[in-house]
Amino acid sequence: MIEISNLSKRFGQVHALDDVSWTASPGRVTGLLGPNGSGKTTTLRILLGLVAPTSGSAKVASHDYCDIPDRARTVGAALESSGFKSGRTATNHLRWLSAAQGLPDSRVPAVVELVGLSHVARRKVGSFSLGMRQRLALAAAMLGDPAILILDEPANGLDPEGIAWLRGFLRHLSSEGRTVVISSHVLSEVQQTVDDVVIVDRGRLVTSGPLGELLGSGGRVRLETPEPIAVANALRSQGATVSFGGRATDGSGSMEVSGIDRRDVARIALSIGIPLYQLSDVRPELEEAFLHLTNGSAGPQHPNITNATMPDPLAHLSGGTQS
Amino acid sequence: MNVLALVFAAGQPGLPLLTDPAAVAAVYGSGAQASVVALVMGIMAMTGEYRSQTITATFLAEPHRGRVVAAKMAFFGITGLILGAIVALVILGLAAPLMAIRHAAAISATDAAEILLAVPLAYAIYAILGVAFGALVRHQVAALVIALLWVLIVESLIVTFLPGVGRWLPGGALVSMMHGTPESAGDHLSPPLAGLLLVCYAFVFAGAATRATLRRDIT
Repeated sequence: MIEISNLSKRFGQVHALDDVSWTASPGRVTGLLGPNGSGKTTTLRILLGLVAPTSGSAKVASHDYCDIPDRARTVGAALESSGFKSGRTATNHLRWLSAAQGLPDSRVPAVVELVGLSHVARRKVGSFSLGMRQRLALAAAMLGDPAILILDEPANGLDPEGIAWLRGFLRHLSSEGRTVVISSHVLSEVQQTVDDVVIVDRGRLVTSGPLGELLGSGGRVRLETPEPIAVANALRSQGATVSFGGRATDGSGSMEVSGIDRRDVARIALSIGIPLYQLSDVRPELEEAFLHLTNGSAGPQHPNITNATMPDPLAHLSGGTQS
Repeated sequence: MNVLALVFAAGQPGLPLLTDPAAVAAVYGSGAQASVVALVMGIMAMTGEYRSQTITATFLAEPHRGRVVAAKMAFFGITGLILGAIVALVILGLAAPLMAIRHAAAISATDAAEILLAVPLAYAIYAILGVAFGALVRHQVAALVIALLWVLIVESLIVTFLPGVGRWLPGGALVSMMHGTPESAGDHLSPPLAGLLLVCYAFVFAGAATRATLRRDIT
């Protein structure tokens, strides 16, 4: 269990966190999501006693980090910038961390195996790829077999196979009843991993709750019909918002409708006697819901935003050929 | 190396023989001047944690940061003590026969005992000062450059040209603890007082380093 209450942090004039509250529960993977600079890492560092909050509290298992009894077995953490001596082997790095926490050396081979690094356990960490370093950090977090895991951007630097592996790994850990918190700014990576989401933007909490609820709020319906104008007018008269898609050669058209339930769309079409060729819910992407909630401040992650703000790289070329 | 240079210089034809007992003791004690090695060792140990960012893992493993700083000081203090003891023994063992060949005055048993006490103490304190200074500055290169500029240039100039001020600085106290140099004996503190002053410096720096480490955010 992790409880963040009214947490604020100022770095000089910068409000890194402003009155943020959320919780993470056992048996669930909680995603702390937000664009770069939104305060995710600051929150996790306060949680781990590395940064002092300006006000508010961040409790792990009902304690401040430095007061947790049997800390190593209660909470494990992997932070993005937690370093290593590049000349050490993976095994020696973990032995050092294990000894520092008063844990037995016997856990080292177990966690190396757990994260799939056995084949490079005797290699120097300096030669590791980013993905291997992420696994090593994960191994370090698992040394105490902790009930609570706090992972900062664990998917960063992993290849698609690694992300799939991480997803399974985290789902397995939460199914054992552990509390898992991961932060990420790459939403597509975590959408299939997290149960609960906490969305922060510019130091403020935007929303928190189960992923399903968040995605359900922006639901739309896609339909295809031979009489798109008539159907659209009928739907609009019922308060729905309609946006047209493409028009097929046979004169039928598709559209996306929001503000109305899929079943109501079918009833309205039936009442005006027009058939529907297709009718389906459009599950919104987390990224879309996120951008909607943060008013697009997430910036270049989203292709539409990218197109709007980035100048067309070919624009000056076409101008040049005209002259 | 200082020692050997002085020993050989002392025996050169045309140079006066080394007969003043205080000068003899200073020759033996000059190993303490190399305690800058212990300072560098301490600085490297503490700033290395910040440089490699292992400080994050260290403070995750032991969030009571005062204990981390204290443990580093204890470890490197003891390491400095051992290093200093080895240096003192080497100096005594090597310099005695060399100086005997050149008919220099023999070192008294009291002086030898003082050197065996003072050199390890100097190394231990400089190692602790290094850890503390490293904890205050954190940036490895900056800490090393500042410390070396201070010890090798600024402080040694003050000790030489403003001995009234210099003897109260760590470097001046270090020289005093080794009986000073004969021509300026009046400008020095007594060796026990100088030793005490160095211990006080160690405590002040250790306190400041602990306080700063407790207050700072690790980002």
